Amino acid sequence: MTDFARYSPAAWQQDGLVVQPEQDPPARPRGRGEIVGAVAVVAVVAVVSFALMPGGVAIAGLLRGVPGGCSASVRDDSIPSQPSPVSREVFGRLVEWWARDCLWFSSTTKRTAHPAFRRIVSMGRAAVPFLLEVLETPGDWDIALAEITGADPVPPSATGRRAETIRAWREWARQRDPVDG
Amino acid sequence: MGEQEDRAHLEAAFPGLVGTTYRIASPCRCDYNCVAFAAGDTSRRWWPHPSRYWPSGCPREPTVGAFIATFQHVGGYGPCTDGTFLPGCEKLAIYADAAGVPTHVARQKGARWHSKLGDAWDILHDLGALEGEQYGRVVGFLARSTRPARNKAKRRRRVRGGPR
Repeated sequence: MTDFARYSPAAWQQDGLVVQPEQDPPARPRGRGEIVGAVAVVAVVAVVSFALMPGGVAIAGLLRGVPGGCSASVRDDSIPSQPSPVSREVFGRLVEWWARDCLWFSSTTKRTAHPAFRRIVSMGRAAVPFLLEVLETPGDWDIALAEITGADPVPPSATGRRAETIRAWREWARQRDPVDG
Repeated sequence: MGEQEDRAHLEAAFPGLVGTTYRIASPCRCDYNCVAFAAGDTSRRWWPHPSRYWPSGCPREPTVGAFIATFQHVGGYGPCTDGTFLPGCEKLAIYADAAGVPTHVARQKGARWHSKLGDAWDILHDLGALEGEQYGRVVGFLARSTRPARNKAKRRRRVRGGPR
């Protein structure tokens, strides 16, 4: 797994973690079969959801937690136990992109408005296990967790204190997944 | 990583540092930021965001006016016109982007400026060396006396009509 805990920008470059400037993370070329397969899956999901659940809102429920799907703006305390490898790859690229652009910023406003940060939040619940993995590395990952889950486990006295914030989120995760949290 | 690589990385982000006698003064730390550092607090990150520390009673908004009000409230600073070094006076410089949103705060240290750069190092630098793409430009200065007791004594003497 990528060691996101390395602070040194030059070390990131040595490891090939710093990708070239761009507006979006590099997209993996998709084969024709893959696209057809994805369309088929979406069609099946749509049909099944409309058949089994009343109203089209079921689609939103199914898509929550899917990368690129609906942003989870409502409270959701569960943590997916088996994150998908595709999500991990996307997440890793977004973290690299964010770190490259935001290393110098003190502004939480700028750091949390960065497109990579917003994309991570829009991954919803699928991003939670990865965010817990990178929690100790530089970044406002606690804010991403709070935005996704709606949880607020950090006591007011610990606001802004990194070690206590991490500890509070670790405890939050442990209470939801005693084995892996 | 060697210091030469650190400096190359810094200078790529802040071209204004090239050719100046800046100095890296700390290891990379991400448990405090420039605003906290300017306020003398290296234990937490300060920002007017609900998940970051901001002194109570201060305007919780990312504007230069809110930053000035906050440093007046917590540090006893007042606005001043420039960053010229004056013995007995401690100054801060506020940087902002083109939209006027604060991006950085530097603290004067002697004739130089001391900054915490995001998640990276503290450095000693010239004031203008950090202006550019990352932090925009310096938009305001704050100052406070570092001799409060003596000033109080002077004020007391004036009130009593004693010799100055």
